[in-house]
Amino acid sequence: MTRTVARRRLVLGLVGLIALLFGPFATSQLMRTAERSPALLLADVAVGWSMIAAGLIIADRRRGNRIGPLAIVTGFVWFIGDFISSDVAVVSYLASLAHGWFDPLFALVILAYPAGRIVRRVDRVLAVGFVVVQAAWTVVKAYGMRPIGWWDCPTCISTVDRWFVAYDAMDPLGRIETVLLTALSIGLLAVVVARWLSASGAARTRETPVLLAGLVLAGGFIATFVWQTVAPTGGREPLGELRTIVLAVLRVLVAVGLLIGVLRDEAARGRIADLVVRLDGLPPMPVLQASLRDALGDPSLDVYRWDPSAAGFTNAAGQAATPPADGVSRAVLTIGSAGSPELVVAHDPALRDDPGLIAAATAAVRLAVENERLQAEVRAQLEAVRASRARIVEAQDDERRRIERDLHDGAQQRLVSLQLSLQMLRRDLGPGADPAAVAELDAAAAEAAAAIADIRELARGVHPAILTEAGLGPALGSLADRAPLPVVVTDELDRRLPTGVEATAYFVAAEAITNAIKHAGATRVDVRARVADDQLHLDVRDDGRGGADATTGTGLTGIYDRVAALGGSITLESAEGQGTRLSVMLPCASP
Amino acid sequence: MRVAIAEDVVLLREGISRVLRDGGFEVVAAVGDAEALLEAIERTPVDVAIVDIRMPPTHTDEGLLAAEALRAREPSIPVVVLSQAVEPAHAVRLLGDGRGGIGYLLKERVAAMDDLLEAVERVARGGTAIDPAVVAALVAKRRERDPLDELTAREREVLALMAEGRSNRAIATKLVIGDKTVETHVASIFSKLGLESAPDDHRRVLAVLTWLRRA
Repeated sequence: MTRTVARRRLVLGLVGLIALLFGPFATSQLMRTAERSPALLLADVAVGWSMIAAGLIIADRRRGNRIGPLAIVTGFVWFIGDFISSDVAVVSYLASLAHGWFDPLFALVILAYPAGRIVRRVDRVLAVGFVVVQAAWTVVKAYGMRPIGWWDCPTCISTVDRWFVAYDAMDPLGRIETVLLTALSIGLLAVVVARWLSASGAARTRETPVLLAGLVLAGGFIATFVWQTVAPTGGREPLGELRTIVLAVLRVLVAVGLLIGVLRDEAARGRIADLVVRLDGLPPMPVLQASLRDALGDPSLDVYRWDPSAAGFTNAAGQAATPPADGVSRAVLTIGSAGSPELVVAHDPALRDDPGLIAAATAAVRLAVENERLQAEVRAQLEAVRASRARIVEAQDDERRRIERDLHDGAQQRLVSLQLSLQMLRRDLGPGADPAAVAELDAAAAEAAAAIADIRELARGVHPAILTEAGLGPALGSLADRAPLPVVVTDELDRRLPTGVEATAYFVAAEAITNAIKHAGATRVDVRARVADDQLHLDVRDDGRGGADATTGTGLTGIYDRVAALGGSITLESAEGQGTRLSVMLPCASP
Repeated sequence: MRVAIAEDVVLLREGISRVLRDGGFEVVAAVGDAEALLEAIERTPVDVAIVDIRMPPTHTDEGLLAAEALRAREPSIPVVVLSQAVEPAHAVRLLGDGRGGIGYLLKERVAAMDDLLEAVERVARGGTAIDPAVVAALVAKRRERDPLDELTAREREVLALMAEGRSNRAIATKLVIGDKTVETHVASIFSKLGLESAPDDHRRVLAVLTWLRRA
């Protein structure tokens, strides 16, 4: 990395050195044909140097930005133009061909500003127009204005005489060239003005150099066009020295402005930063596509997503689509692991020239894709855990119901039968029976009765039958019926709830009432159950001493687990001396 | 008197049948579920039916539903419901239709044979029978500013017997006191509890049970 930077700097330094020496040498050519003021010479060298210098700095600071090399070339073309004044015919000839390229190259710089890419269609049309017109004119001129003698022209009085000129043919063609380039530069000016007007704040400041540049460029062409129209027979333009100097100063200012503009163009990076923020999680495809288009300034950019169910790609609109192959017409980026692509981004190949930008955008998307994948994984795992907990609670409830039924239908019934048998036996023994045997039988019957009562209470604790049979409201009423303190039940339920929800709410209420009696020393408990927004709200409050702590006491801990397993929430308010309020919310969407 | 029994546990069903037969009842049907009971009664009219709450197929409240169906008939058939659990709400629900001839007993009352026979007879004659254990649970229940605390011991006894569905005469016999004394106790109880005097025994039970269930 450091070595390539060093090598690059060396190359750029050499280019700079050449420009430093070449500039004055080129400018000195101007002295050959006429006496020029030092100010004029200085202005000439300043224009070339400022362009090259701006280009070198941009090339150094903004690798991959085309404006750097483009500005360097433009600066050298400027200097080469000076060689029109050369004594050597072929040099003068070639210089005159090159000279015409200054304005089209300058136009390209303006169009590529600031990111170094020409992306918008209108910009591209203009750029291609400039290059095509200038190339065509160069070919025409190369033939139509070739020199008579290649090396020297001792007989020539002025440089003009050295050319073989087919004026009759060249003049109309030259007029066409001027008209076309003038039209293109007016188009460019329109683009630049539109850009400047639509920009605001800092962006407008950034657009100002190109506005100035556009005005200079278009102004030059329009002036030439007007002159040719006013004086169609040819003849020299009034080359006021002042005009040349003013133009040169403007060009220097433009070069400096462009340099500052490019270096300050953090907007592209800012857009990537925005992208990273916006892609917090993978947005829907249309949003992702719009964000990427915006961030990379490529309205032709398309995203394709791999759809595992269809085993194919879908485009942003969700239709099945095949991404283009990576090539000359489209550049294609694949995001995802090798062999299993998740996302494909097809973009303008011109973006390849700013690999830093593409890399940053890709990283942002990759991050989002990865983030999304991890989130989906975590969500799936959480969902699996939640479902598993809910199943455990459900299984526990089923088991409790089963035990309750076994106790009632099995042991309790057998004991009742036993008791009945004992009573019948006692009756059958008749009045003359052995009193000891009768006493024994009575004791056994009493024991059976006690066992029945025990089993009844045990079964109720395991899972009250009335809960299964009549639901939460009646079960809470039953709880109140046997509570050793006043329990006021407000039952606002109008339907049965899922069995897990009913059981959980019942056990919450039972535990809260038990705690109110055992720990809070309460004299009254209020229980309220209602459904709102598909949530069961159960409130149990007592008038006890408060200070209950959810972290102590296994009863409450078990309840917290149950409630959480059903995706509910539980709050305990128990300020010292303020009584205790236990509120539970349990989701219970209508079946 | 003719009686039909619905009880899914065979051992118990036979035990109940035997107790009733021994007590002079004619058991015209002894079946295992509510549907069979309704069919049997359709064929042979009975004076009273005995129904277990929990029976197939769901083992929840089939017996309650069957009892309600029988009592809704014209003429309504007296029903004694047997329950495994002490649920005053069930008793109140059964009494709620305003008709007499209803009983709510715990299953183990079957073993107290004379109590069972006495209750079934009372219900068959249009009376009311609530299991003493249910009444005891309600009487033991605590209330805010409990007016029960103002009752004398004898009044509490009268109240419990009243809640079980016994008439003044039966209470007098049970407590070995005069009819007039019972009437005095009842009037005193009603006034202390703030209850209106009820026109018949059945409504009196409902009023007392409802009052007792209050917090």
